[in-house]
Amino acid sequence: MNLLEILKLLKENFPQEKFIEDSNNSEAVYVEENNLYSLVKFIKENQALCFDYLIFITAIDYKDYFELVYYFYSYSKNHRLALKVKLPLSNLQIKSISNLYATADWNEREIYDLFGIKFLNHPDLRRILMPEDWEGYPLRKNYTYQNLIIKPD
Amino acid sequence: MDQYLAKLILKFFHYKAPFLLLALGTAIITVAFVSLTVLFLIWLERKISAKIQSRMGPMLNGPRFMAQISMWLGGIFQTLWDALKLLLKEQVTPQNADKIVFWSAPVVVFTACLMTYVVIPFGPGLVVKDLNLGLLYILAVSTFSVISILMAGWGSNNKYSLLGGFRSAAQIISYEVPLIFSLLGVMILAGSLKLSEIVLAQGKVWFIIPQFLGFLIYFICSIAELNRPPFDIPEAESELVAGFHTEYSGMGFAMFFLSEFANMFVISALITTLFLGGWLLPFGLKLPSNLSFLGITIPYFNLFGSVLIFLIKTYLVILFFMWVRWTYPRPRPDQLMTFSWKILLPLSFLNLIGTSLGVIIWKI
Amino acid sequence: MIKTEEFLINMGPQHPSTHGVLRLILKLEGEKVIKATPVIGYLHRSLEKMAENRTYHQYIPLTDRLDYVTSMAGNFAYVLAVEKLLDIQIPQRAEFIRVIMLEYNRIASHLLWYGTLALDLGATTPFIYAFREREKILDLFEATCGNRLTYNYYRLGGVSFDLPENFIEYSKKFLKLLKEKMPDYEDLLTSNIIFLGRTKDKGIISSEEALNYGLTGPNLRASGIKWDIRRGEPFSIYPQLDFEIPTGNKGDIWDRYYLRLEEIRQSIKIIEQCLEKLPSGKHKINLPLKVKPKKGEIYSRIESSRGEMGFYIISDGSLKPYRVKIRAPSFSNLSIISKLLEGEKVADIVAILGSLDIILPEIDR
Repeated sequence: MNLLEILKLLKENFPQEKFIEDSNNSEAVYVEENNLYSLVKFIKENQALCFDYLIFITAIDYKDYFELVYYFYSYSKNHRLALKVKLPLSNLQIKSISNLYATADWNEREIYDLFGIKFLNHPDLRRILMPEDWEGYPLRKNYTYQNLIIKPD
Repeated sequence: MDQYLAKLILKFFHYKAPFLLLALGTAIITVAFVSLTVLFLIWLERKISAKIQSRMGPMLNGPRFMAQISMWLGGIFQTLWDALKLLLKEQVTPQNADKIVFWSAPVVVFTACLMTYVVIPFGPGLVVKDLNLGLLYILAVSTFSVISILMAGWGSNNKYSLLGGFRSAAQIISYEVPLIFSLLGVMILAGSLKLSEIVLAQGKVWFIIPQFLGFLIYFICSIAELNRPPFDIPEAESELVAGFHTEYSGMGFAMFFLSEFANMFVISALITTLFLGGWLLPFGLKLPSNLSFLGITIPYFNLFGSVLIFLIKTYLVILFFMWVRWTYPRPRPDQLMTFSWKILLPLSFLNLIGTSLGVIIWKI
Repeated sequence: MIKTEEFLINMGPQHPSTHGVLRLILKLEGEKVIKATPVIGYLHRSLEKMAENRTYHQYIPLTDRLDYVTSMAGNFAYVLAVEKLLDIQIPQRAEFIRVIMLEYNRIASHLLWYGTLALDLGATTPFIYAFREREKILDLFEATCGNRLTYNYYRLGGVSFDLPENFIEYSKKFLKLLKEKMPDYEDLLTSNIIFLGRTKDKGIISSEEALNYGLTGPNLRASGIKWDIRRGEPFSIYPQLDFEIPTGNKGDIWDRYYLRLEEIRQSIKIIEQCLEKLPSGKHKINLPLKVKPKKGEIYSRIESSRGEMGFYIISDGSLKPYRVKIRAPSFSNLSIISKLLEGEKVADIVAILGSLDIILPEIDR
């Protein structure tokens, strides 16, 4: 299935969701943060979609908001989908999907570690790459550290 | 009073001194022999492993003026420099170690290993002390190494060492049983525990032929007893870092290392004595007492020849040990125990019963 | 009554068998593992942050430092992603050279894995045997790009150097040799009774678990899922090549072992075809040093020797990428470890860990 067909199916099942397409990425759609968990659950369990593989989760710091990107793939149907969620700076938390995909466990820990986004209901939300007592979140754009040198263009 | 004392000293020297000197001399010869053998064995192991793995092994070593000679001799001085380095290294004691236990472990292991050399007959009459219970003595003394490994494991106060110590105790205790059972067949056939008599009993046929099963069991068990790969679970490098000798450095480590190789020599010598006819030639052939060759007469050829035969056999067994070591992967501890209790032990029982029946039928 | 206590042991970061700086906190009951908690991050260099501070060309050497055993794969995945962003076509010869190098590197990586697995199981000789042949591959790389470990060979728009003069001749000789040596490897381990006892029915990963934990590469295929990006989502010239995707059926250590040996054979096949078809022409198109992709995002992935190696690059139209996310195969492959180790023996830890073929620099990034 291509993205249009997937979107059509999703829109039928989630009428309240807008599914704004991303102009930069032909595989991605923006969804509301509250709907994410149920959406992921749906696309995993739906027979027509059958997204059995979570490739990765990552976050992007756009300075005035954060964006979470969930990349899915289906081995049996051979199609990709990326779900994007915008998180406002005031509310950096989202429901964890680690009980749907076990991969999400470490991916969410990594995002928590490097971006400081909290995942609710996560079984073991600790820093994963940085030391436990590290201050700050290195992948944020405003992160500074004494050894960090910004190269000029 | 003075006179009495002087008389006593004189008497002592007159009667006991030769004996003491002899004992001292034998001890020195034994220690020197063991050390040299071990240095040679370590070099041999490195060369053999290199040949198996299509490498060169040690070649160039030592100071510049000796390097070329060393090259011609295949790097034979390698272990000498290794030993020298280990001697000069700092002895590190872990902070929370039980110091007495920690440092007495290598001494115990080396002493136990030296003690086994006492009863090995290298040739007719060439034995430090030919005990009546020679075989029993060896079995008793060689078990001593478990204690030292446990001491090392416990004394280091390191978790890996402790695990290694536990594994070692479990392994050696379970392999001791089939090991002794496999030797009972030899005892029955020879009718003696004296090693020289066991050798002489093999005049017609070596015990490896009637006791082949016993030989196999003994060989496998002795690999486990020696903690050599593939049965090296107490010091399994990839799991337990170095097992019970993780914390040892310098001479402490060298003692464990040396005793391992010295033990290998003893076990090989024992296999030669018990199964391969010791210093005897096969098919009841006998060495001439004096050999005349191109007009030169070699006296005591009988004696030298016997030692040579003994050493050749022993080294063949050692080569076999090395071959096994560099070929196989290591089993898991529980597989090792299962193998010992469920396969080797019943087989050694079978061997014992078969031998006894055979002897009875033979006599009828 | 004797009280027994659980035994807490730190395996790593300095340990002979954790393949780098992985640390496992083991809770033991005798020899049995009750709980194993992996601790990673000892090699964290924040390569993703460094990408935001470099131009697209400048970042290529850093991708070597991800998976240093298959550093061609890191190069390839990154270069492919940026080329898709830039929307450029590269010469056919460059495509072929890229595939040859990737497959050679896959062989080298699998050989190293074969050796280290044997070493973990206590057999030293297979290790030396595997390294003997791997050395020859490294010689080939050295002749081609001057490096033996971190190659930095791929460029945006091609590869940095053309193949050296007698590369094809030497390659054919080497592949023949490797094919002769493969039975040696099998003789040493495949049907050895101790090896079978250590690997059969140990560390089983079912296909559901493999999917759930996002395993990729040989670990996924050993669980019976026939999926390879080279076939499923073909990149470069793979559609033109003829090769098979080997799969396992049980997902135990032995399956993973045998599958990797089989993959070496398939890679030999691929290289032979590439050498046959290798077109002449340019090995590279020249791009300006300051490349500015237009605003956009891309997720592009390749099949490295460990699984799915992907780069998610976001460009804001400037000289430097706005964000780079590296999807490293070992990161997901390792996450299953605490589940696999539960209830196993201490001796099996290294076997299971070794069979997953993880590499720490790409996990920690």
